[in-house]
Amino acid sequence: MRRQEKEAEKAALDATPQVEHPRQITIKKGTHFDSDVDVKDVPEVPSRGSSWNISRPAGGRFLDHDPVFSLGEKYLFLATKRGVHVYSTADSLLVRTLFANPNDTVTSYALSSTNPNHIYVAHSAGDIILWDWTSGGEVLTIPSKWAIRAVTIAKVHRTEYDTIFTIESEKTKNGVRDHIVARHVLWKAAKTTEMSLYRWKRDDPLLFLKVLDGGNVIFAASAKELVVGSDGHHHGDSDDELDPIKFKERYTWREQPSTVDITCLDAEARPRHTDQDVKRSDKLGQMKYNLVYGDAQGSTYIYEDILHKMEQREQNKKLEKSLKPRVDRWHREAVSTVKWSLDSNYVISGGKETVLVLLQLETGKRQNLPHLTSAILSLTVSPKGTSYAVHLADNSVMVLSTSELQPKTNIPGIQSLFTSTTPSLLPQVPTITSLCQVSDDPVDAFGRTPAVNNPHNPNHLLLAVPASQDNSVDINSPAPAPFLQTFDAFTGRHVTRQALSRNLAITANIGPDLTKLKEPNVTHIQISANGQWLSTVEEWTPPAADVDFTVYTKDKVVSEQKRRLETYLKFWRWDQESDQWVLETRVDLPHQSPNNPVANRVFDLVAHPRLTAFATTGQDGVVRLWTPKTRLGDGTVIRGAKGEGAISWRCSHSIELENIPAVGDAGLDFPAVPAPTKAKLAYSNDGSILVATQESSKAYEAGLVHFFDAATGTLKYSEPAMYLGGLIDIGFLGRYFIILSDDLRVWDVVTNKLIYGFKLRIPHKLTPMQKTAMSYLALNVSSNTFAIAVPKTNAGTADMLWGPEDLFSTVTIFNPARPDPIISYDTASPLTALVSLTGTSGFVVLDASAEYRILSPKNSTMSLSSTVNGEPLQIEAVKEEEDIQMEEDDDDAVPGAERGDDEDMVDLMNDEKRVVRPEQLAGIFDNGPSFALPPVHEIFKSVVGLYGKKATA
Amino acid sequence: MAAEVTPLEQVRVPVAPSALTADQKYWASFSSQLLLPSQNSAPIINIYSSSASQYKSASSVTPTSSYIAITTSQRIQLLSPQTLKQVKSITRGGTNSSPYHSAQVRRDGRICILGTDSGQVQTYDTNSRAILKQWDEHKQPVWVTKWHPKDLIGAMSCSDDGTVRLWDLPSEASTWKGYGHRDYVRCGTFLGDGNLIATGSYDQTIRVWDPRIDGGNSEGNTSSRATVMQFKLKAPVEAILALPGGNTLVGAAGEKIAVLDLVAGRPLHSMQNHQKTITSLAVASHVAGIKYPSPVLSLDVVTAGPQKEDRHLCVGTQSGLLSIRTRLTESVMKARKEKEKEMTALMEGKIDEYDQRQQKKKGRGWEKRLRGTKDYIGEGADIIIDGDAGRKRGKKGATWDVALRKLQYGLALDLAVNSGDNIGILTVLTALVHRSALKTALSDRDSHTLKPILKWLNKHIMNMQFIRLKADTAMLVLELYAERIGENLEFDEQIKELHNKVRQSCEVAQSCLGTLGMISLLEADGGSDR
Repeated sequence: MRRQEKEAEKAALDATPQVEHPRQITIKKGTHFDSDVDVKDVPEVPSRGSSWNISRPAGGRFLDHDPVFSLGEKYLFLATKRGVHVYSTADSLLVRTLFANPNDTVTSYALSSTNPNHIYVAHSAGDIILWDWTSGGEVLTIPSKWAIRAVTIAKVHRTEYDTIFTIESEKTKNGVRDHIVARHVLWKAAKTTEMSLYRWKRDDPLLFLKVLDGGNVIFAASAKELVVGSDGHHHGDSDDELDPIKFKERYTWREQPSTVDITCLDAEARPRHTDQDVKRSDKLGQMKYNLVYGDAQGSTYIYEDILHKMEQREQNKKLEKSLKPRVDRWHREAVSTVKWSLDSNYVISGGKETVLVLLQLETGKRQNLPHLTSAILSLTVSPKGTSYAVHLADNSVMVLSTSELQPKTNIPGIQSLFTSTTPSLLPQVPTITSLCQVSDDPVDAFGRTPAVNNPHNPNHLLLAVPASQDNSVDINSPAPAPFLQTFDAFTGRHVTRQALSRNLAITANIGPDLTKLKEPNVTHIQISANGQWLSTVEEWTPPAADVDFTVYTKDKVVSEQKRRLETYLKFWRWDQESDQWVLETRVDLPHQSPNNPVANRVFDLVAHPRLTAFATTGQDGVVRLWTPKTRLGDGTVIRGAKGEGAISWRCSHSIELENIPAVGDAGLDFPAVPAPTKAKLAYSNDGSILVATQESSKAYEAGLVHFFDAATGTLKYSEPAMYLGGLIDIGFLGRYFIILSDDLRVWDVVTNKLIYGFKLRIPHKLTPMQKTAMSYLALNVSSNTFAIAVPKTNAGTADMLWGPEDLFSTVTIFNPARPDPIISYDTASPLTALVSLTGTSGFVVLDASAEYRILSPKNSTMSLSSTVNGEPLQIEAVKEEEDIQMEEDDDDAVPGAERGDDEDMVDLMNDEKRVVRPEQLAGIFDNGPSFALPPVHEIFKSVVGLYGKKATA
Repeated sequence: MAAEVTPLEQVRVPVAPSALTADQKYWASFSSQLLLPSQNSAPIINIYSSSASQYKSASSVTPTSSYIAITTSQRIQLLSPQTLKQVKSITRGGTNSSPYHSAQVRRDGRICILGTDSGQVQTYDTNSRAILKQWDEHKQPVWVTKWHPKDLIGAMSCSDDGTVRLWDLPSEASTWKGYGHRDYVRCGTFLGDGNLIATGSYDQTIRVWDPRIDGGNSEGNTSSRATVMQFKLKAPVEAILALPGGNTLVGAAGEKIAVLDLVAGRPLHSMQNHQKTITSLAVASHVAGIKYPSPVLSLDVVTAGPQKEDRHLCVGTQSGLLSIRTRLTESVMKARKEKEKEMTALMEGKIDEYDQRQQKKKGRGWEKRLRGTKDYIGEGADIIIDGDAGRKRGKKGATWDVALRKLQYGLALDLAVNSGDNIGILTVLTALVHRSALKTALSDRDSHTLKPILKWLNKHIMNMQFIRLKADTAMLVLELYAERIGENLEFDEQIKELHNKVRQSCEVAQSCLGTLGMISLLEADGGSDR
C-alpha cells in the first residue's frame, strides 16, 4: 500500500507542473495517438492449462411449470432449465438437484404414479429420464424422436405400471405438428412402446395436457381449441392395453374451438354421488369430469360434467352448440393459473395482476389474497390439499397453508434481470403498454442488474431486482428494479429482500387509463468499505402520455419527460437488529444542472475503498463527494433510539468538471447548454486519488481524464486523449488505470505510459445504449486482476441480421501488467452483472438467463458450496425419512378402519406442530460464515426454542 | 405472503433552520420574572442558595430548611426557594457596622457564614439570628466565605489582604492560612470533595491550593508550596466556579471566561461573550444571554427536585433590584396548557366537544374504575380479546389514502383539498402523478367541484416549493377546462387570478435573474483582479 501512496504522491508531484504547461500535454498527446498502434485484437487464450476455475452454472429461473409436491408433501420439485431441484418444504432448503445433460434443458417433469420415489423429467432434446430422486440416481432413459413439451403420468386401469402421456412436436415440411403421445413403461421388458394417440391439426401449439381417471379421459388444449379424448366403452383385458393400436383406438376425440385465448387449464374427475346421479350412473358413467380454464382477458370458464354434455349434444342435434360454461370474471389481467381444489368446492385462480382468488362454487363467494407483489405464474394444490405452492414472477415459490393462507415455505431463486430469448407460447392480449413501446428492438430488453459484493459478508451479493418479471409479456425494456435482494452466491441461496424505493406492492399496478405503472429503477448501488453503509441511486420518469399536455409538438415530449425525472440518491445504514438496511438520508435530484433543467441524471456512484464516503457524478458535469456527519440540531447532537448520534449524509465537496462547448448555432445569444451523456468515476486503491471523466454526444475532445485529490477535492492533473470514445467504465488497479471504452486501454499512471490496449470487436449493429448495457469492467484487488465483458455474436452472423438470441458475452480476465489474457470465457447469454468478490480473488458472472458462474483462480479455496453443485449432502437422512413417508403413503392406499384412526391421530399431531417459518431458522443459522456463528449450544437452544414452544391457539 | 398495507408516505418539505436554538428556548422558559427591590436600593453583592449545593455529605444531613441568601451591603435576606418570600433577615445594628460581603447558609440550613468589609468572618444561627462565632484575623475586607462541601464545621474565606484561610467552627483561630496572592483575593471555592481550594485574585492569577500542605507565612514573598497549580490570566479574576466533578474550573477574568482542566493542568477554552467585566458565575445546564436594566453583580441558579432541575434564576444588580425568573416544571406546564385549552373551548362554546375528546383519551371503563364496581376486571387482566385490533389500525390512515387505494382518484383529491392540509394536498398530487392519474382526478368536474382546487392553486402558486407539481396541475386544469372559459363567472374570476399570480411570479423571477446577472458581472470582475 505504501507503494501506491508513493505512486499517488508521485503522480501528484508530476501533475502540478504539467497543468501549468499545456505544451507538455500536447507533446504527450502525440505519443498517445502513436500508441494507438498498440491497440490490437484480444489474443486467443489457450483453453487448456488455465490457472482459473469456472464453476458450473448456478441460480437460474424456475421454469414456468406447475410445482410438484412429493406424495408426503415433504418435498417440492422445482425445475430450472439445468435440472430439477428437490426442496424440503419444512426448511425451504435445497436437498438435491437432478441435473440435466449440460447441453440439454429440462422442459417438463412429473412424479411417477406407481413409485413415489421416481420422477420423470422430459428434456428439450427429447429424452425422458426417470430418476430416483431419493438417491439421485438415473433409473431409465426413454428416448423420443420428437421434442417434448409437457409430461403427465397416469396409471392406466388394470395395469401395474406408469403410462407417460406427452405433448411432442414433430417437425414436418409444413412446420411443427403436435402430437399427444402415450408410452407404457414396462419394467420387466425394460422397453417402452410409443403410441401417438392424436395428431393435432392446427398450427398453434398444444399447450396444456391433463390426463384423468387412469388415462380414461385426456384433456388437451392450445390457445384456441380444446380437445377431449375419452374412452367410453372399451373393456379389454390387460394384454390389450399394451397393444399400441388397441390403446390408440380406445379414445374418441372431440374438438371444441374456443372463442377466447386459453392461458391455463385444469380438469378433475369426480365420482357421482347424488342419488339421482347414482341411479343414472350406468348410463352416464361413474365419473363426471369438470373442466376449468382461464383466458387472456381475465375470465375463468367453468364446465361441469363436460364430457356428458358433449355427448348429449352429439346425440341431440336440437341442443345448442355452445356448452354454456359458468363464467367468472374477476381478474384484471390474464389468468395465469387455475386449479380445482381437492374437494372440488373451490376454483383457485392466480392472475398476472398479483392476486390469488379462491372462488367457492356453491355460493359464488370470492376470497382474495392481494398484494403478492409479483405476478402469479403457476399454482399447485398439494396432494393432501393442505397447502398451495404458488410460483411467482419474481422467481420465487411459496407454499401457503390452505386454511389461513400463511406462508410455510419460501423458496426464492436469484431475482436478477431475466431476458428470455425464446418467445412465450402463451397467448397475449395487446395492451396499451405493449402497443406504445418505446423501442422496437428486442435487443433493448437486455439491461444491467446493479450488483455489489458485501465486504462485511463476502459471500453475499446485493442485487437491485425487479418486483416481477414475466417473460410472457413482450416489452422491449428491462423491468425497473425497486427491490434489493441479498443473495448468497456460494450456497446459491436467497438471504433477504427489501424495498429500496417506492413500489407498487400495495397499490394497483395499472393507471386509470389501464397503462402499466412503472416503479422507480435503481440504477446504481454501492457499499462502503466497512459494509455498514449502502448508497443507491434511483430514477423515475413519468410516462410520455402523462406529460403530453405540456407540449404542442410531440417531439418535445421526451424533453418534458426528462424535466420531470425523479432522481434520488439514498444512503442506507445496516441495522443489526432488524437485519435490514435503514434509510438515513435521501438527496433529491443530486445532479440537477442549474442551467439546463433537462440535465439531471446521475451517471456514476462509487464508494471510497477505505473510508466511509461516496462520490457521484452526473449530467450537470459536477463531481460530488458525500460524507456522513453527525446530525446537529441547535448545536446539540440529535440522538437516535439507542442514544447514538443520528447521522446524515451531506455533500462535502463539489467539483465542476470541464464545460462542454456549446454545439450548434454559435450565433445564438443563449445557445442550449449541452450536457454530458456519460461520466465515470474511480477511486485509486488506497483512496487517495479520485478520477473522473465525462463524455458528450459530440466527441469534442474524447478522453480527457481528471485526477483529483480525494480528500480535498482539488484538481491535481488532467490528461487528454486517454481513450477515444464510447466510454463504458474506468478503474484503478494499483498503479494501473484501466479504461473500457470502444477499446480497452491499460495505463501506467506513474510513468504515464500505455501498457497495452485491445480492440473489442463489439457488434456494430448495437447502439451505444445497448453497448453500455452489456459491457462490464470489474476489478479484483486481491488477485490483482480485472475482468471485462463485452457483447458478441456468433462469428457467422456478424453484422448480418441476427436476433437477441444470437447474442452472448465474452468475459476476459487480465493481469494489468501483462497483455495476454488469463482466461476468456463465453457465456450463453449476455451478462447482466459482473461482480468482483472483495476479499477473495474471483468474479461472479451473472447473465440474462439469471444464471451465474464464479470465476476464481485455482489456488483460491473459494468454490461453489456443495449444495449448489448438488452433492448428495443429506442422502441418508432424506432416504430414511422418505422411506418412512413411503410406508405411510402405502398405508394410505390400504383402506381400513383402524388405519384411518391412526391417520387421524397423525393428522392431529401434525396440526399441533408449530409452523416454523424458514426465515426464523435462517435467522439462527444464517449469521454469516461458519467461524462467526455463536457457540453450538446457543444455536441448539434457539432451535429448540423455535420448535419446542408450546403451540398456541 | 401478501404485503402489508402501509399508509402513503408524505412528501417532504425542506427543513429551514429553526429561528430559536434549544438554549434560547430553554432560557425563554424562565418566565414570570419577579423583581424584588432591596432596602435603600443597595447593590446586591452576592446570592447563594443552599439548595444549590452539588455535593451530598456522607453523614446524612437533611436540610431543615433551605434558603436563598441575598447579600446587600447592610442586610442579609434569606428567601425561601419555594415561596420566594423573605423568611429571615439579618441586619447589623449600630453605627460602626461595616457592609456585609458574602453570606452562605450551610447546607443543613442552620448556620450562615459571612464576611464583612472590616475583615471579620461571622457565623449566625439562622433561627435566632445570634452571632455564634466571630473571627477577626483578616486585616482587610473579606469577600468570600464558603462552607466546606463535606465537612459541616469547615469553612473558607478570602480577603483583600491576599490571604486564604480555613476555619473550624469550634476553634478560635484559622486552621490554615494560604499566602501567595499578591493582590486582593476576590473569589474562591472548594474543589470537588473539599480537599482542594481554588482562588482567584486581582493579581490576575488563579491558584489551586492544597490545605494539607503548609500555606507559608506573610513574610514569604515566594509562593508557598501549598499552591499546587497556578494559572495566569490576562485580567483580574472576578469570579471562579468549580464545575461538578471537580476536574474543571471556570474562571472569569475581565470580559473573558477561561475553562481550565485541572487534571491536565491546562486551559480548555476561552469564551468571550461579554462586553464588560464578568462579575459572577453559576452552573446551569444551558447557556444563554438575558439582558438586565442595570449591571449584574451576582447571580445564582436555584435547583429543585430530585433531578436538580434548574428552577429559579436569581440575578442581583447594582441598582439593588433582585430579579428571579422561574421555570415551570413540565407537569405544571402541561396542566396549565390543558386548563387554557379548556377555557378557550368554554369561551368558544365547544366545551362538549372538548369533553368528548377528553373522554376518548381516558378510554373506556374509567368510570367503572373510579366507582370500583365488581365487573371491572382491572388493568392486569389475563386475556383481552380485541376483535377490532386490525380494523382500528386501518382507520388511522388519512381518508384520501383509503380513496386512493380504492382507485377513487377524484375523491382522494377532493378529500385532500377540503382538509386544507397543504402537505396532504401535495402528497396526494404526487401520488396521483406516480399513478398516472392526475388527469383522471382533475377531469369531469364542474365549476363547483373545481373551485377548491383552483383556490388552493391561487393561494400557493407563488410559493416556490413543489412549483413543478403545482404548475403541472394548473396546466392540466387549463388543458381540460380552457374551452369552458366564459361559461361561469366564478370560474373565470379564478382563472384570471391564476393568470395574474403567474405573471407576477414570472416578473419576480425575472428580476431575480437580472440581479443574479449583475452579481455574476461583479464576480467576473473580481475574478480578473485575482
